[in-house]
Amino acid sequence: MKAIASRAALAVAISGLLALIAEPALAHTVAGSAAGFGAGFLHPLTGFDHLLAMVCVGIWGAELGAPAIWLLPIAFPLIMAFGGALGVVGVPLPAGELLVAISVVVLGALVAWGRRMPIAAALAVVAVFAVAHGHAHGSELPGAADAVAFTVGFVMATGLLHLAGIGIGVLAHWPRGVAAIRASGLMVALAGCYFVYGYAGA
Amino acid sequence: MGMPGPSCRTIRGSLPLGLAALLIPATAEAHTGLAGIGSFWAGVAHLLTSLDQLAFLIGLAIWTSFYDRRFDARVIAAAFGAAFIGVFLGVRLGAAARLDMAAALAALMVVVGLAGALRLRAGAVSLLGLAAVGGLIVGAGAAEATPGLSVALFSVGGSIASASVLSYGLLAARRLDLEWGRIARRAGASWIAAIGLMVLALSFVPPTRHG
Repeated sequence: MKAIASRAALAVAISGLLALIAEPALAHTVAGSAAGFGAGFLHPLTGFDHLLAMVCVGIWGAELGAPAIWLLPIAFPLIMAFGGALGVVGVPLPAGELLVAISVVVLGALVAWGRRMPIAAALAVVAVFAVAHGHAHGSELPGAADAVAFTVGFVMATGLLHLAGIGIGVLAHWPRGVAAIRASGLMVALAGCYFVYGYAGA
Repeated sequence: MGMPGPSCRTIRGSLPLGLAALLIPATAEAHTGLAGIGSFWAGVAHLLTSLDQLAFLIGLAIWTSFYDRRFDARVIAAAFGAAFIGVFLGVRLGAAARLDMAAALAALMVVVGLAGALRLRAGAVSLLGLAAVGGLIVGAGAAEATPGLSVALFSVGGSIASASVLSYGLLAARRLDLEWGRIARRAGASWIAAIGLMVLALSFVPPTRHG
């Protein structure tokens, strides 16, 4: 009986703890429900297309080496914000979500390919996709209860995903790391194909 | 057939705790909990809970960190003085004019963010001028929270908080003086420019589209 009572007490304590962290569901796909820093921070993390593309930008930057390793993460938020501003003011981006899905394919393939390319070309590739990702974030921004907090959240999350990507890209210093990165790039590209198929079929 | 005493007490004690936890509001209410802490602390708290004002000041600190150290004190002094005056200016201007302060601050975030990301050295006049203009706008923007409070004390609190954020920001930024640290500062500045650009765009959206 004592054991049952202990379990019951534990269950009540866990329920109390869960009640503390229970918040309204701020789902990735519901435009009007995005509110505050947490929603903004989670936006790139809960959308796998955003997450994979952002990490790939960091990995690709690390693969390309200087100056891309620092130039891409610095330029990306600015260009993404430009796309975001277009989304905020309601400028339509034709097939924006499809472009986001294509970005996963292309960035994954570039990571898998692992070849150096001119920084201007790398910036151009990233710029196109940054606008698409920013537009997706920006179009949800006017619905956010605290737009500033939402923006801070998603910009920070995006930057941290780049950082995570750069951290993964550092593995390229080891021979097996190169193979692992290329294999993961390939898997990301395949996941991107699935996203493209999903958006094209919808 | 009763349960052992201590365990029953644990359950009875846990239930009110669980109920109390349910009553705790989960969302952050940044500016609503400032009443009752006094005018000075309301000024401090208002700045520290305003993400756009904080972002501008951190952006200014990052940009200043790319200048010579002798500019640090001048930038802090300019922002401090301007923020102090700005609150009085905001109170005088009234609610209608204060609506544009958020857009103006967002524009300044873009400017300091871009300047920091590009490691722009635009001269002392630009740096100090921007610190002063930014301080004025930060102060004027905070004036919305002064009704029922002493404007002078609120202003002192806000300007001390501004100077503190700038000081700590500069201390942190100057510590990041290695190569990776410089890149981190520039990336941080680009984040601030990005946030400013989005917020600026949002100021052009009709209020009906806001949540």
